[in-house]
Amino acid sequence: MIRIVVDRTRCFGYGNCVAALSEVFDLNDEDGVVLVDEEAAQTVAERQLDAAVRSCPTNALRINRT
Amino acid sequence: MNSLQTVVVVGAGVAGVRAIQSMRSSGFNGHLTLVGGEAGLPYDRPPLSKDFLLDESVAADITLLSSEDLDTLGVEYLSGVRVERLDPAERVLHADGGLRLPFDGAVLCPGASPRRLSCPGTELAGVRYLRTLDDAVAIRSLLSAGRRMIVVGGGFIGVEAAVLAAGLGLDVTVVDIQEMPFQVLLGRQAADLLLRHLRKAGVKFVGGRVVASFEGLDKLTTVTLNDGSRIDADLALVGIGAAPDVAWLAGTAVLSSDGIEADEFCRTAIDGVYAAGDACRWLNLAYGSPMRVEHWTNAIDQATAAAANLTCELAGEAHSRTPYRAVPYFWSSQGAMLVQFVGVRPAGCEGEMERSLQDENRWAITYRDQRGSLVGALAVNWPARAVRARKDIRSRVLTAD
Repeated sequence: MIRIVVDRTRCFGYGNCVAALSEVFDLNDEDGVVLVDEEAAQTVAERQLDAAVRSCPTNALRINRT
Repeated sequence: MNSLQTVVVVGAGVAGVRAIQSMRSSGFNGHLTLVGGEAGLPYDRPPLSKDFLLDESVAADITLLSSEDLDTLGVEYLSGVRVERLDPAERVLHADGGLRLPFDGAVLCPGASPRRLSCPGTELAGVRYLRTLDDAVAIRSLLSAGRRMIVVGGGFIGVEAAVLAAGLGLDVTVVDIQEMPFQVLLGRQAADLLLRHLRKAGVKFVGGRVVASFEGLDKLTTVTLNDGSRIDADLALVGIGAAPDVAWLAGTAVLSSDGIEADEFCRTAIDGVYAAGDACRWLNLAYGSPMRVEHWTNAIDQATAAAANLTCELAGEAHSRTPYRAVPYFWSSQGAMLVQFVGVRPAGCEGEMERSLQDENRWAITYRDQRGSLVGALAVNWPARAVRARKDIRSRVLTAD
């Protein structure tokens, strides 16, 4: 099981995660904070998910694998 | 893959760091060396013109890799070591102190250095450039003691620092060669709006001028402009752009007139030598032309791609390399305001204004080509709009050959 942990205080809507993996990430229209599709996150390649999480300029994303 | 192979990554900025991470994640298990010209652990630059200038506690946060991370990656990190020469025939990088670094593969990420002003007085205390951690620490202490600041150059780094200093209560003036900041980059319409924001943040702006001289006994006290006007200042931050750090590559085949020349795989003219980041001009197939991009997001994406391609080449699988296609993207935080830009602006295109119905501080300008396709967008305080444009542009230009 993969969980994407979002630190909402660090997300400024830079959108690099969305550019890297739009199947999993999007931004909220209202406040521009990241939205995660947890279901889609289970099905994408590990390397792609790692790269998307690593593309965040403020380290607002973390992957929790259980 | 031969585990006795050696790869050297030159430059420990974010591109160099992503290059070593990508070497490992793409399966390279040989010897990996990261060479950085500055002392200390690799760190991230964007905060240096932002929060870092306000708050010392940000310092710990900007470290890109800890010593443990470097151990885990199995990377030999040489900090405070300057690479001075590339010998393509011997396949050796020569560093200061007589250090020889033989390599099978290399990723060159030397970055860029601030362009220097050549007017009188640049040696005075109080006249600073901003690129490194040491620069930022020095500017932070000058800001805490300073009262009047002049920012030379209305680029993003200068404007970010100007807004921040005005917020600290300093009297701040930005002097720019352009009539309005970002005019050449974004067009008059966008520049006019950004100038209003700048003034609202308490920053004065003097356009169409350059600095004639910095004056003072040993410390800066006054700046004279080319029209003879004088501005009192105890701190001058010069931000007039950057130039690729490639003097050490002079005489080798990897250089172009504008940085390191690379093909669509980010490979230079030398086998097994790749490049990424601010200094790399590569063939961007998304636009069918060479491009050099001095932004964070390109640095990480390009370094990741270049290193993965080098891994393929070293494994004898050059045919499975992937061209690195990119749509330029950058952001700038100016106090509470977030500016995002994606794509390119066609020459002369002023773009079309969009305003958010919910929030008057949110607006965007979209740029279209002659066929009416969206090719660029500027979004202010509107991340959702920026990301929508980014997805739209990427889906069009990254898929087609």
